[in-house]
Formats: sequence, C-alpha cells, structure tokens
Amino acid sequence: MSVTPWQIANVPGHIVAKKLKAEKLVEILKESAHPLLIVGKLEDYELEIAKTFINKIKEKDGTVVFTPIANKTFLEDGIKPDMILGLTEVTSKLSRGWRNVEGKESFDLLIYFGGYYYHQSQMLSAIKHYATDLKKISLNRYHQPNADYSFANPREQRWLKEMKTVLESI
Amino acid sequence: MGRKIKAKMGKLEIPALRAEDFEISIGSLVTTELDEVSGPTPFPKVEDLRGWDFKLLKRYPMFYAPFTDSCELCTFGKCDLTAGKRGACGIDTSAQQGRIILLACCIGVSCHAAHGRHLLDYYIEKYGRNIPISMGEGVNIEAPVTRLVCGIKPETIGDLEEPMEYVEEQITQLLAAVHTGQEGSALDFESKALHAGMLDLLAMELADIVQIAALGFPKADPEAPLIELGYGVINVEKPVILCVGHNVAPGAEIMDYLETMGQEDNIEVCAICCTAIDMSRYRKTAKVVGSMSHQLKFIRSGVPDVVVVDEQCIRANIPEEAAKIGAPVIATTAKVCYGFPDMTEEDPDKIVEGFASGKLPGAVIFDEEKVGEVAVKTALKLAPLRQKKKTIPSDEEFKEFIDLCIECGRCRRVCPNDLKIPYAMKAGKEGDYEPLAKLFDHCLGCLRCEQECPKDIPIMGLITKADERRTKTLKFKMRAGRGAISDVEIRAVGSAIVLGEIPGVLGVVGCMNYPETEQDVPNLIREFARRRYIITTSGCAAMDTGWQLNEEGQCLYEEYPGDFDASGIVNVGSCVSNSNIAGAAIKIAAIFARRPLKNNFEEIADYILHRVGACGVAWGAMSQKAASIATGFNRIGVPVVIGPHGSKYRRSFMGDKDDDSKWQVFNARTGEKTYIGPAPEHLLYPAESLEEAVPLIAKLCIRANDTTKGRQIKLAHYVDLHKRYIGTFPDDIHYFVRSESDIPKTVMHEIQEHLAKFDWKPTPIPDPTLLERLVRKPKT
Repeated sequence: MSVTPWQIANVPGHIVAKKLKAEKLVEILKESAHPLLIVGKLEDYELEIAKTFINKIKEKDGTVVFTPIANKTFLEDGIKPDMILGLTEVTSKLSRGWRNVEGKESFDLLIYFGGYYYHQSQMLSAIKHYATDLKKISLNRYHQPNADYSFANPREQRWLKEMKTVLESI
Repeated sequence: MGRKIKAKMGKLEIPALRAEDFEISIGSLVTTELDEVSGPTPFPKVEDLRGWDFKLLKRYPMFYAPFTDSCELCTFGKCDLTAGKRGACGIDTSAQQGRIILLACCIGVSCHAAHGRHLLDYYIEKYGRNIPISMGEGVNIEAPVTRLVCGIKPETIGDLEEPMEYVEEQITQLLAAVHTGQEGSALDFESKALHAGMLDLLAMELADIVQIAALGFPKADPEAPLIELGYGVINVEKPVILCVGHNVAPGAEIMDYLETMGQEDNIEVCAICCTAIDMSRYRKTAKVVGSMSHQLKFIRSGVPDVVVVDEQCIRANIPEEAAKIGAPVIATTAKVCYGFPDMTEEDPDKIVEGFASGKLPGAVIFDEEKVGEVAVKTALKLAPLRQKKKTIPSDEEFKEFIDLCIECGRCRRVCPNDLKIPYAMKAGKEGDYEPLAKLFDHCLGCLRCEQECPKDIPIMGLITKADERRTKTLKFKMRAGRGAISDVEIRAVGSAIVLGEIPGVLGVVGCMNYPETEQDVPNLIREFARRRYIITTSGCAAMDTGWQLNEEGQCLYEEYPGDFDASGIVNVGSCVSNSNIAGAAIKIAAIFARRPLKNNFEEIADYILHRVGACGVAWGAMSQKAASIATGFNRIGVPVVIGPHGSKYRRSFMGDKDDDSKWQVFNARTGEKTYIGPAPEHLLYPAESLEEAVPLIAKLCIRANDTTKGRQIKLAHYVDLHKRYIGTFPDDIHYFVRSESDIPKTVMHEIQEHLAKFDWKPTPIPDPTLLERLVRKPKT
C-alpha cells in the first residue's frame, strides 16, 4: 500500500516510492558501492544524524555534494563535501548523464537529504523521468513519492531512532 | 503593418443618401512609423524568432522536473508519461512540460494584455484617442519594447491599439498550439513560450503607458513621493475602502469621487497587491497595506468597510471572508464576478441600501465611475453599522481555540511552507505565544490549514491574533512607482554598465511566495545596493522592499536614492511596469551602443545577453504572469533567478559550463568562432536559499564583453559574496578569468593559486555575437 506524501496533495502518478525502514535502508546502503549523497537545507534535529551519515558515506568512498546552504551549515564543524553544487544544479547534471566524479566509479545510488520538501520533490521527479538508471532515496522523514524509497512520515523521535539503527549497522 | 478600420451603421440618412446596414472598411491606416532603418522582424510571428530561440536553447537547454507524471488535458487520458512513455496522442513528457509552460505563459500574457486592453478601451472612451504619450522629462524612447517589436513610435494612446491587436492575435496562435495533436517538440513549445514572454513584455508596456498617460502617474521621476505602507498607516477610526487586484481604473474613480464630494479627508482608501501600487501612483494619499499574502489577514482584521476587487491575484474566497466581517464586495471586471448580480444599471443608492441591509453581499458593477460612488457611499453608511467587526479571535477565544488543538499535524502537511504550526500550538497551550506570532511573516495567508483542521480551529486567525500587537503598528514607506528609466539616466550609466564598472542591474520583482519571509527581499536588495549595483523593483517585491526598517527607522527607499544609478533603488511600479526594466536594458543597447531598435529583436537581445550585466530575481514567483514575465526577460537575454517554489514551474534553462562547445560565439570583428566562457551561466535557475542565490546573482551579471576592469569588479563581488554566503572560495572562478588583467587585486593570490590547479590559459575578449549576420568582416 502506498504512503500518503508528506505534503498530502503531492501525488505525482501511479509510480510512487516504497516505504523505507531502517532494515531496508541498511540493505540498500550495503548494496551500494558508490553512493552520491546530496545534502541540502536541514532542520536542527537532523544535524547530528547528518554529520555521522556524511562520514559514513565518505568512509565507503561515496561522493558527498553539499548545496550552498548545507556548506554554510557544516562549515564550523569542519565537514567538507567533495563538491558544492546547487540542488537544481546537481540534479540537472545528473539528468544530463553525469554519473561520476573524476577518478571514481559511477554512482549506483542517489541519496537526497535536505532541501525544502517541495524542491526535493521536484528534483526527485527529474531523476525519475530523466535518469531512470539511478536508484534514488530520500533520507528525510517526510515521504517523497518521487523517490524509489522514502520514510513514511514518522515523527521526529521515531525517525531519529531509525536512523541511529541504520548508522550502527553500516 | 497598418491599422484596419471598420465602421458599421444600422441606418444612415443624409440629404443625398439614405442607407441601411451601412458598412465602410478602410484597409489600412499607417500609424506612426519609426523613422529609422527597419530590422528584419516587424510584428514577429513565432517562426520569425524561432532561430534566435533555438540559439538560446542550445546554450541553455531545458531542465525539466515534471510536477505530475501524467497528462489529463484531453479525454484520451489520463495518460502516464513517466520516464519516456508517450500519451495516447503521442506526446512525451518533455514536450508535455513545454506545453504546460506555454500554457502558463499564455495565461500570463493574456492577463496583462486583457488588463491593458481594458485600460486602453476605458480611457479612450473616457478621454479620447488623442491623449499624448509622454513618459517623462528626458525620455525620447517612450516605448522601447513597442519600437523593438512593432517598429512604431506611438504618440497618443490611440496609437497603442495596433500593437495591442498584434499581441491578442499572437496569443490566439500560441494557445492553439497547446491543443491535442498540435506541437510535439519540447524545443518548439519552449520557442513558443519565449514568444509569449516577449509578447508579455509588450503587453505590459502598452498597459503601463496607457495608465501613465491617462492618469498622470509619476514619469521617470527618481524622487517620486514616498507612500505610506503597512497595517499601521491606516486610520481605523475612519470608514475604509479596500481595493484588491491590479487594475487601477476603479480605484482611481473612487479617489476622483472622494475629491469631487470633498470627502478625501474623511475616508481611508487603501489597497493590496499591484492595484495598491498604481493607486499610489495616482494619488499619494492612497495607502498600501502590503502584498498579496495580506488579503485575508487584513480583511479578517475587520478594518475594511467595503472591498473592491478588479483583476489578477485576487483570492477566490474574498466574498466568504468579507461576508464574515459584514463588508460587501464590489466586483468591477468581467474576469472576476464571483457569481454576484450585475448591478451596473441599478441606482447607486439602491445598491448601497442592499449592502447596508445585508441582503446583498456583493455586486458586479461594470461602470468604474459608479463603482467610485457606490464604494464611497457604502463605506460611509456601513462604517458606523459594522463597528469594525472582525473575525480575528478575542483573547478568550484565542485561548479556547489553542486548547482545542490535538496536534494531529494535518495543518502543517497542507501548508505550502510546511510551517510548524503544531509546535507553535503546543507552545501556545503552555502559554508561550511567541512561536505562533513568529509564523505571521512566514504565512502566505492561503487558509489551507484551516480547512484541514478536524477541530475547525481558525489557525490563520490565531497566528494573526498572536502577532496583532506588532502588526497593527507596522508603518513603512515605499517610493511610488516611477515608470520609465529616462534616456538621460541611461546615457549617464550605460557605459559603466556595459563596461562592468557598475557591477550589475538587478530586477527584483514578482510575487510573495517566499520560502521563508518577505524579509529575504530587503535583505537581498540591501546586500547589492551597498555594492553599487542598480536595483529595479516592481509589484509585490517593491512593497516588500519597503517592509523593513534600519536602526534609524528608515526603510530602504529612504536609505538609498531612487535614480537609475549605482546604489539606486528604483521602484518602476506594478506588474505591468516590469516592461520598464526590460525597456532599460533595451535602451542601453539603443542609446549607449546606438543599435537600431526598429523591428530588431534578435540583435538587441544578442547585445543584452553578451553585454548588459542584468539579472532578474523573482524570489517569491508564484503566478503564471511571473512565468511569462521571466520567460520574456529570458528571450531578451536577461537571466532570472527564482526561489525554490519556482522549481514547481517545472522548467529551468541551465547552462553547462564544462561543455566548451556551448560557449562559442562569433567574434563580430573577425568572424572567428571564439570561446567566451559561461557568462551568463544560466538563463533561468531556481535557487534553494539566499546562500545560493546571492553569489549566483553576482555571477549571472558577468558578461562576455566586460572590460578587464569591469570583470575585476564583478569577480571581486562574486568571490566576496561566495565566501560570505557559502563560506568558501568559488571553485569555478577559472571559467571567468580571461586574462591576468581580469583578476581583482584584493584576491589576486587566491585566484592565481586556483588557476595554477587547472590548465588555465588566457582567452581573447571578442566582440561577441550569436548572429553571423552581424559579423563585420567575414572569415575568408
């Protein structure tokens, strides 16, 4: 059964995301050899999880893109991305066929984390239509139907718990 | 192209002739032809500028982010277009996106054209065709878009009929292409959308010229009066008339009637949206409540005694909300009738009686003068009866409603801005009303939260109540819309703009669909004004520009001058006045570079794209009009940055700085193909945040033909803004350094270090053009 999108009128069509849970996310992350993590504007409660998650992605030789506001957010903590690109800019590059950074293998997983809900939704739609070879997940707690997998709108505490489980397992 | 004249008389009797159903046609009357050499595209059809569009779209291809996966425009559907599938008519998702964008642009241009047509017909009927067109002292190019597109020099408002007919005819052609089984190519849909955008620039110019000429608005006046703005400037002790919309005609008649009756000191006339801007151009006593998001908040405050609506961006539920405060609604145009009875022929006093008795909640009156009389009489009669009845909860109700909240969160999930209403309600239950009050500036006033609430809590009312003490006292200033930029001003700054010494000209325009608050607009403008950019603004953005006070209690319009010069903040006026911003870019080409305007769209657009460091910013773009305006600016070579809500327009025009082949131009001096770098890099870009938008805007003011000194200045701002807003040195600076001389001294070391990491080589500065016909010395 499909999940109601976080913004409830955001129903794109009949192909919609499957419900993401900690175990599935762990499985997807373990399967992926070259994930691309795109970090946008985050909410306060997401920051600590994000820091750890970014490090995990880096550890597995993934690529981390910060949008400009995300870069400003993590500056004081000294966390640096591989690239700084706008949310629209990076998605446009992906829709044009961009698949790897120099010297690295092709991405096999896109992870969108942050950005305004509706902006992320539009970017996931672009990937859904124009970069069909890429698996795409949304990491925020807000359900994004244009992803392949997305959380089902759990409350903050529940989402934090799920993410902690994930971080302990990867 | 001449103007066709057709006259028809039912009966004609003169001594020598008696005729019935007499009809006379004159093939063509030549209007005021512009006395200069004509370019190749008089009154262009879409196919005439298709070549230019394709050049633009090759450099800035579409990036589509579909809003939905399906098409439901015909009974073949719904058709699933996901990931390469085609609909029953054969259309694919890219073409469908282009089709919807064309539709949006057609809606946008239709609004401005219909608005302009109404003004034109109304003022011709009222004052005649011969009202002279004068756009102000020092303005010789009175109608730059009209000259560029139609090749005529209008002298009276009657001369505007011909270009208006052209716009109307072209809209029909474009709209036809949206029908099932017509166009099938995304590129061609976009070319048509660009055409609609250009028509919109023309329609807006015609509309603004009519109202400036007929109503004597400020004319290119940098010192146009400062207008009172905000909830706190309205004297609630007086009867209040509120006008909402975009068409000044009914509002102007209200003020005329007040003056005729000597009642101007006894009644407050205020307005919301562009009508407010244009009424304050007519009379500086008209007060501006604010932008579109204040419509229902202000009505619920109970202040207005009568609400007069005209057209565009008017909330569809104004009648319901006005009825709750006992204020009747007068609809004044056929575009917005709300199902009210047509009382145009009724005695004004009877209409007022109906309103006062409560039997008549609203009326349509298609007679602007009668609207003036009825609105004034209604306000006078109803004010003592209504006693400013409001629907914002009382202190007791406020607490009771908050306690009803079960924190289900449905309000948040329908809020366009995902506002954390449940959190604020929870804090309210604990006696902390600050979180609720803080939502006021973020709230778009759409009421989706209230209709979703299972407990029927008037959520927007609670937000308004929580912040009422502050909002009631809000007092700001906005400079009245001045219309055109004068030729004298263009002459004075043209060189500094083209050579890059004034780092850019920004057009900060558009609606109020901000991702955060309206404070983003004054914050953004302040950043660029203090860096000597020229800021032009209009519409809701112009109001929000004034919606902030500095430590000395001054708003930006008081802090910075109103002239078109470095650090100037220029309010051109309402939505239709956006044409004056395009007009300024066109005039730079015509006056500074002496490029011929007449029917010469491609050459002027090519000039602007490569030489005029202008960038549009529509941070809160919401409407179809905003889509067509932005698309018009794009066609004329001006890039536009929109806010994140703008991603829902579905389409961006994105350059690829890594693809050198996209940045090749002709060097007009030699005919050689030459690399110019990605300047400007994008043509339409939805930015996520101000952190992204501010450095990007600075970057999009870079042009191929900047002098080395100009490029130094632009790069210095780009580097500085990138560091301040993103926190790092920009990693793409090597794309914009053409020679060592381009490097600003303040960051020379950093840039040289950066260049050393790349295989950077100097590139020549050509005389850039995308049009081979402009090559002066063809390659042999």
